[in-house]
Amino acid sequence: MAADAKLSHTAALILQAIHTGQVYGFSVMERTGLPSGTVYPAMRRLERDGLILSKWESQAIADAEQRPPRKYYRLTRAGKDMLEALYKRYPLLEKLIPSPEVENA
Amino acid sequence: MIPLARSPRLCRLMLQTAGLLVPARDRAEWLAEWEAELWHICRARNAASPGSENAEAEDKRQLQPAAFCVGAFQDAAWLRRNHSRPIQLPKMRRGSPVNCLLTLGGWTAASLFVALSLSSARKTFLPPPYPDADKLVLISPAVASMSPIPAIRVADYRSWLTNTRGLFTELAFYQSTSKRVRIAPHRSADLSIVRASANIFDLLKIPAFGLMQQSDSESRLPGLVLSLE
Repeated sequence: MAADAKLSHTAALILQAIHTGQVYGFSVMERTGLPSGTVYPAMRRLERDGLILSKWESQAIADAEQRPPRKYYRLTRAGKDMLEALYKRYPLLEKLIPSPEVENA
Repeated sequence: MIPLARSPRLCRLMLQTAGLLVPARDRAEWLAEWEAELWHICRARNAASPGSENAEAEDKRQLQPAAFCVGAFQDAAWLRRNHSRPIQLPKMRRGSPVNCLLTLGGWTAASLFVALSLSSARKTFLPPPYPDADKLVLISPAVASMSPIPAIRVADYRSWLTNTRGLFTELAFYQSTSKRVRIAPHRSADLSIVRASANIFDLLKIPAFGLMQQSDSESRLPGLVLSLE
């Protein structure tokens, strides 16, 4: 699957944003500049295709901070493989959304 | 007064309306995710200091909650469209060992099915009907024999191939036919006519006096033997 790397540039951006630690919908929107109507359906597709996984935050943590729990997303092994392949297809992907380590360097 | 685009009540109403598009089994979780995100957006807006000089510019820069909730309709519509589709298993990589084994297994099963459906091929799969069948050979006429029973042993067959003299003493020709012959006006009879090689009597150990008394030169000529039933 990774060898094909058939994801669109938008999906690749979202995948990269999740990879760099932007792990919930709103933060992915802020990082990519994409509207919610694009980000959320794209994340559903990525999750359906097994590239990302979602997990609800613990209720105890949310209660301690007096806020509703959030749904977090992370890359799967297949998602990481896909992203590696996407770097070849979209060479600027890493520069558009650099990881925090790259930014701080 | 709170502008309409920032009204939490309006935003929740939008989310609940959009939630009607979401399949019932996913609706509660979907709504919880969107409402949680909305809460964080509203909190981020409230956290911005309203009295600052750039408050108006900051207000424009920040995401309007209502604009955020508009996207919920697209998300809900996507879930509605993809609701009936089964969860897709990860595609097997082309050329993977599992894929190759499955392909080979499929072709083997298909070949086996075709072979078993052909009677001649099916026989080869069945166990032989006789013990030591591989040591036996079947001598049959050019026309395919109906009997699959081997008639002689391989050892005998090989012996005859090498010891050609035995062909005249251990093998004999015998062909039987039935023929209706007219023997008188308005009278006919069914005769059994047999064509055989001269050594048939020796092989069967039956005395044939007429032929036995012939000289060597005469014995090579065709002879006629009549017998009564």
